[in-house]
Amino acid sequence: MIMGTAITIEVVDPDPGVDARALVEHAFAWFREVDERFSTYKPDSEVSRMGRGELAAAGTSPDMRLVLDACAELHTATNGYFDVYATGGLDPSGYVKGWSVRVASERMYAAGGRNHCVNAGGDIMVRGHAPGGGPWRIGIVHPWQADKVAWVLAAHDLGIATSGTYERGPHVIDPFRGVPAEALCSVTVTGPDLAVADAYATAALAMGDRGPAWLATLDGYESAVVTTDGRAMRSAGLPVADPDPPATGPAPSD
Amino acid sequence: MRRAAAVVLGTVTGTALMVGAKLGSSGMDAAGADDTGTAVVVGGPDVSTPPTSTGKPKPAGTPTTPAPGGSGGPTPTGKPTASKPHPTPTPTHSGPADGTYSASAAVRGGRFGTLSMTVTVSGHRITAISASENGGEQQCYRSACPKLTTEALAAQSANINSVSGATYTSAAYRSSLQAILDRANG
Repeated sequence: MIMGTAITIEVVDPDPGVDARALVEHAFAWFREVDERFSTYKPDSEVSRMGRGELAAAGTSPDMRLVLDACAELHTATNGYFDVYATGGLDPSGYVKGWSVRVASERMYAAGGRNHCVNAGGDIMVRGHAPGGGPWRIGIVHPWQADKVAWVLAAHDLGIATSGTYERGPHVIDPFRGVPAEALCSVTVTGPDLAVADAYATAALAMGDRGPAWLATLDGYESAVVTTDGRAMRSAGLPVADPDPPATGPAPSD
Repeated sequence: MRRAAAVVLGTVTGTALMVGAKLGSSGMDAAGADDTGTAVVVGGPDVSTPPTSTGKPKPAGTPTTPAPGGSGGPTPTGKPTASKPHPTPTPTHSGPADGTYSASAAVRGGRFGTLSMTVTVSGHRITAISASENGGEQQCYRSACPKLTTEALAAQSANINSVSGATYTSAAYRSSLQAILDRANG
């Protein structure tokens, strides 16, 4: 457990001579580094010290500046609904988790692990192929039946982020009303940049019943939503797959 | 149309009312035509020549007569390149000069049309703001045009490699579908 959540990494068919176990260990070391720097639960983390005003902008790390710059851009892109100050203090978690998974994925790919799936608490980056050679198959959890999925997605290279109220309760704050957003129960956003997908999912959840219409305007990012009153919606381009394809044995490897 | 205007005005109050930019359509292109279509700049009139008489203040440029109900296209007032705006220093009155000011901006690069706003100033106070939207390849803006399709909420067991869901706590993880998958993978 790192960053308050479970992280799962799977590497398939690494390049010749590449030690998959070393790739995974490097990735976990990266996640620990991110946790040390960005955890809002650790009073000595850089983000906690910044939040208390103990750290001037000049003294921040390159990663912190990169994250805060990206968060500022996303604040604009989401009409203010993605807000790292929504809870009062500085909390860029809605970006950091997806970003750290994306960076881990990029590093593994560059080091010869071109086929992998990295999952940090439901934020997923997949590259290449799954065991057997086919696309990675990702389930989107059913909000009220934890052992079931509402959709299955199939993809080779994709970021998938889900933000929801069903595990931790309504914890995403509508920054304009200052109260938890409750109209949407689960928002999944997919796209090339997992960090952006994560922020979009958080923003749409904060928008409440206006979230689905906003999600429909995004370029390059697909979405799936479950409302608190039990309706399901998705965008036309979401890569939805058959939940249980007929067993055909291992697909031919490429 | 009404709905689109409400959304954008909501954005204006939600962010900031930036005062000072000139409200000509040429000025708005630089300030407001961004990709997200959220930047709407509302500015006062040009006051590069502060009125010296104590009589009826005369706005710089030549304001049009008040536009009827915000219909019609943008109505640039004054000469777009006449001068740059600056805070009103004159003590003879406070607030912007009377007149009707219009601006327009492309929404998401024009995909969702052009948003036009008209602000009427009377007695140095804003007395009316109207907004309308038109044109573009799609006649819509964050309303019905692009839409998520509604479907039945499925609850299915599936053959999957991983699970995307709301952040689980350590306790929730132990009973989660992802934990089952992780165990299956060894």
